[in-house]
Amino acid sequence: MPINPLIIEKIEKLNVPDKIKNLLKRMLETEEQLEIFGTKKDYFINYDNILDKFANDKEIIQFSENYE
Amino acid sequence: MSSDISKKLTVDWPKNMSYDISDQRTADYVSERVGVVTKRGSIFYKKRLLDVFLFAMAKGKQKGLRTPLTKKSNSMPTDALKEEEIWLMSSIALSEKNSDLDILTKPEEIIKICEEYANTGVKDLIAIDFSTSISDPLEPYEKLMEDNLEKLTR
Amino acid sequence: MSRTKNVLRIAHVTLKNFRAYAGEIEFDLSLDPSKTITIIHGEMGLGKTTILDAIYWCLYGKERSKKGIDLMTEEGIINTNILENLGINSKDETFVEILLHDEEGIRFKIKRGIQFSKQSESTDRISNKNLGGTVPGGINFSPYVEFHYLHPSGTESDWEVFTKEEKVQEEIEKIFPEALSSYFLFDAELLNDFFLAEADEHVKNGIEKISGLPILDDARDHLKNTSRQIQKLIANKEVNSKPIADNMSQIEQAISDYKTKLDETEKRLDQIKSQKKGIQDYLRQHDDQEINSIQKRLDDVINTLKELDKNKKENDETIKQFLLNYTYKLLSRNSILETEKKFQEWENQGRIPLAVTKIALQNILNGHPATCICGTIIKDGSSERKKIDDLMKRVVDSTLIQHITVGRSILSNVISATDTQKLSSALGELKSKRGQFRMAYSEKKAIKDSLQQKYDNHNITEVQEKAKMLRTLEQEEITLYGNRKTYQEKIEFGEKDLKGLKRQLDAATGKSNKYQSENNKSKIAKVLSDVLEQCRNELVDQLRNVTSEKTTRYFKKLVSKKEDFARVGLDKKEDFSSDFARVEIKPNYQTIALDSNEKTKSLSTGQSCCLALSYIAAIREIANRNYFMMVDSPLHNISQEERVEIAQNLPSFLPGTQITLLVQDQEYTGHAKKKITGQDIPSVRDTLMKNNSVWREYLLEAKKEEGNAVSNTTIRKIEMGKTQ
Repeated sequence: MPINPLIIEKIEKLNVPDKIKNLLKRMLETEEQLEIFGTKKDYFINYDNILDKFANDKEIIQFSENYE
Repeated sequence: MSSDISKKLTVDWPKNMSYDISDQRTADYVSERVGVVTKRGSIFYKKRLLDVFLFAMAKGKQKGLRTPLTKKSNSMPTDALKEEEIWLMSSIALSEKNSDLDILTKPEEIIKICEEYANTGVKDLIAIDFSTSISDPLEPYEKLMEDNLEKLTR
Repeated sequence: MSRTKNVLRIAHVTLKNFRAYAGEIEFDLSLDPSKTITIIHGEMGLGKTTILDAIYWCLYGKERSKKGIDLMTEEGIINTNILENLGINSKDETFVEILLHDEEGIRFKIKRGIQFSKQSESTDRISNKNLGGTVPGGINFSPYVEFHYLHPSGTESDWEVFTKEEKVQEEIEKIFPEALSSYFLFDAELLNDFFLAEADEHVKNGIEKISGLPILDDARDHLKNTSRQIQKLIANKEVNSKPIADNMSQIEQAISDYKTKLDETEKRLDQIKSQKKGIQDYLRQHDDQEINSIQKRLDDVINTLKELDKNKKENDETIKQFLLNYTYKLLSRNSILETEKKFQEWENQGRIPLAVTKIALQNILNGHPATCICGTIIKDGSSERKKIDDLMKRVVDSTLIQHITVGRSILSNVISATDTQKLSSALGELKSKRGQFRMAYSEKKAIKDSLQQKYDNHNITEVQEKAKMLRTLEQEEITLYGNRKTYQEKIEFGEKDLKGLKRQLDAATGKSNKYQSENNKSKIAKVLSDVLEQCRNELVDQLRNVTSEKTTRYFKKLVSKKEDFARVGLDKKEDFSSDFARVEIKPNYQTIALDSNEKTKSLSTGQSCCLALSYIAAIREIANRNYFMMVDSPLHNISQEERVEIAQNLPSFLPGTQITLLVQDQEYTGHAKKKITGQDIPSVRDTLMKNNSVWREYLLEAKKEEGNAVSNTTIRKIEMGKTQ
């Protein structure tokens, strides 16, 4: 099932950097793809790949450290 | 006036009347302590030994059999007799075949006759008592009365 | 290319040899956005529900689950007649084909079927779950499925076709997720479930599934797990941290187990709560009413028995005294009579003087005139006078004679008293009374015994059993509360431990820059997971509220209040808001309608139906799918007035949505009269025709073909404007 617009709306309204919002949306899209292709068990590889791209992004790291 | 007469009537009478207690069963039956007059549910419960006697006597007379006593109990005082009862006993004696008018002047004779009839009758009463059911103790006596009513109306 | 659409309508349906339909039937449904309603009606049992089942089967390859029906004894998917009459080496097929259009003109065609051929004659009957029933032996079955897709810009030759089962299912799932199926194809009778105890779960699942929360939940969980897995990988590389990582894994597993147990405990506690309430209500009712009544009657009859017993005993005592007094006298009667005879003889012999005293004679002579007892006047000098004078000389007043006289009198009384007739009669009466008392006692005793048993049974079987059940539940509740506390504590401690271990792990691995990047990834993933969790919690409330709002909006459209649907009377249309202000879906997913004072309104069947339909419409809107809606028996169980109300509001209820109604003849064309005014209530058909909202009507008919023992259902288009 596609992502419900309400969820997207909610994410847009969060008080977080845009990068985080996009990352979240990306994660959700990944989840949607996994569902469509029936490969939910392969989530780790997919998520790991995405996270690899942002592992050294200063803004995201800063946000993560502050969030905790 | 009649009570005076009764007293006078029985003034010559022997003091006591008796059952024959040579037979243990009879002795138990007529015992004041443990006999039929102490049995709840019995028709004679809390009645006098005299009541039992009169009943036994009438039964014996109906049978027409006298049984002499061998061991007297002397357990029933004659002064406890009512006038009607005296005359009933007297009529038992008078109605004997060989009885004459003068038997009325021989009270010990009257008593002897009645005791012997009672001695016969008491065995019947014991038998009735034995066969009586606890649930309907009056049943044999009812039957006795009904049978006799029937006999008499025929 | 995403195939998911916002608007989908069924253009055409073809059924062949499916269930009750022998041969082929087909029908069109409305593609007109302004006239969206198609009606298929027919008598009960002709196969309306089968149409719904066919579409479901076509989409998902399985039968709709229905409650309380043994699928194995129902007609299977393949029409039984066709199967039974198949000749050897003959073949045929069953299929369902649906053609769908969306707004842009993209077309889908889905066809699912079973080809079958008879190889040999057989009397066996084989049960086949996939065919939904038992089928004769000796027949081969080959199922197949096709998914055709045509883009609007394509021509007829450009249809994309898939025939592999998995691929087809994949494509169908994209367009019609099975989770959503009950919002497009539904049996309105199942709407009743909506308002039963299972409704809350149903609504919860509906809201969460349809709103796509599962995706969010999965993303959240996967991110969390990713974070942990990365940590583990780092730890495994670092020798020192491996034990910590292992420890953490164990604790995570334990926490997860406890969370599951906690969940189950909470569910059970909820169950117990509701069970307890049921029992408590029951006990309150039964304690007060029935037992008290039985108790009172029992007391009355016991008192009557006591009275009868007393009477019985008194009568018995009377009989006893009677027998005691009279039996021996009766036995002595003959002796007494004998004695009296003798006395008379002696009297005659002169041995006893006449039964007369001197005083008595004197009294006779003293009379003026002297009168004998028999009444004869005794004149002086008469012979009677002479006799008396002689007697006077002879009578000797001796005491004995007096005694005899008295005695004879006493005995005479005894004879009187023992009169056989008198005694028989007296005894008879006493015995009769005894019999009456005994019978009355016996009757009353039987009544008492029966009441006593009722009382005991009532106590034991019902009330006491329920009380016992209540105590058991309460004990279980206490245990579960204890367990719950334990699980919560364990989870709390576990998470504390985890935090501690995490710090240790970070310390062990974070020191070297070797793993900086991995650490960052792990951190980011965790944070994203937490953000999603927060998101989710807010969303759930939001979704509930959104669903409540939308349901309210739909409900207001569909339900128009004339006082109350259940009552008959006023024609004046009142403002809706005076009775229903809003619909609320509570945090526990219970769905209720409230008035303007925030008080819960109880709904009539028709209103419940509307509420359920409104909820469904709301869900569809949230799911963003304005697909076709096919409803079976939507008007079942509701009054004529309510049906007409719904019919009137239906077109504006879901504008633009293709609605197909499968209705029973009676519900559709039946008229009624208003109870009080006698005014005619129009049929649903007339109402819909008046609104001009029906695109087409079809009638299902049973046709019996020659030579066929069983009738077959066919479908016939009705010309609009004409009555059938």
